[in-house]
Amino acid sequence: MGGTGTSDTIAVRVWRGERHGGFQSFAVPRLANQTVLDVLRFIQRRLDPGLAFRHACRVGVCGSCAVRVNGIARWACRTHLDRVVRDDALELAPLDHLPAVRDLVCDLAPFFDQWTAAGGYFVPRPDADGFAAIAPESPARRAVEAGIECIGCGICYSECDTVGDRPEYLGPAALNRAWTLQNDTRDGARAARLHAVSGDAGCHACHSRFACSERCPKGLSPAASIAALKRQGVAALLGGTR
Amino acid sequence: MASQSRDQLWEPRLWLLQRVTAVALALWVGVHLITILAVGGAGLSAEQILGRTRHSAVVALFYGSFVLLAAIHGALGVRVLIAEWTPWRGTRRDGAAVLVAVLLVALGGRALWAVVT
Repeated sequence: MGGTGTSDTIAVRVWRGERHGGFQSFAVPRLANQTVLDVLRFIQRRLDPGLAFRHACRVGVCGSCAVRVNGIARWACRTHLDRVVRDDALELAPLDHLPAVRDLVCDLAPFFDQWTAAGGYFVPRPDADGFAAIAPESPARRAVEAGIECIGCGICYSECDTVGDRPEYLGPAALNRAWTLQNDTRDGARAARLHAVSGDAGCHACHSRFACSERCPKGLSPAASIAALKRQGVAALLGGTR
Repeated sequence: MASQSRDQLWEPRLWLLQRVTAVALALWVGVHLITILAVGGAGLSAEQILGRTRHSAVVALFYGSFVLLAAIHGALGVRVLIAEWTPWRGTRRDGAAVLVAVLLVALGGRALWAVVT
């Protein structure tokens, strides 16, 4: 049931082309329990097969269908129209701060390049020998738990004003991943990673505006991870080794 | 994970310096405001106020450090804005921030000089 007061169709404006494209309007039938992804699939199958957008799992696991819905980055697959349609209208655009490829598809290479730059990958300790015993309730493991569920959808990157102002900024997702690894007792590159995230465009460039935490569909708080990285950097500076 | 330039050493230090000056400024501004209210409540004239500030080591120390704190804190904030609003990086950006600090010290110092001498 599409909520009260809704009409039979909605006017959907979809971004077409690359950076210098424009919005194209489609009239899409309104259905019960309809998601933004349903709308996109309808347009592609019935109205314009040339529409380009990404999706895979349809259930909020893969993170590939993130688009801007009425200006706010969301997963298309998990966004019900009831939550976002205003006056029977919907506007769909590609994620912000990433190079446009075509229509709703953007190039995520810069986003993942920043993960690499932030040391967002596991580096085994040279003395690793056998299985690591990690207490689930230990503070370090709990810190990992708080940020580990990121699926790399890019929503935080699109919503972050600092990324928009400084494209070289490592961004919330990469820094969040770095923080989980800083708490991974099996990791052997924590000093180097702290260095990597403490550069000119690293964690200190964050203004703590919390747009990333506000918009993360997984309910994670990259902003809190970034703040923790700043504290760790200060602790290292003052001689402590957290 | 390339360990790069001096950036990695500077950024956490500058960030810490801005936070420390922010905390100090909160206290200094509090004392400053309370002083203004107290002086206003006492109904002192400008001449009477200047009579108290002239040759006062306390006023010179307090407002001297106030000027320095504000200059450091403000310049560091401007340095961040420069990176976000302009293409300036490296020496150009740092130089501009230092200029802002020097300007703030000059302006604040001039005002301080006027009330303590």
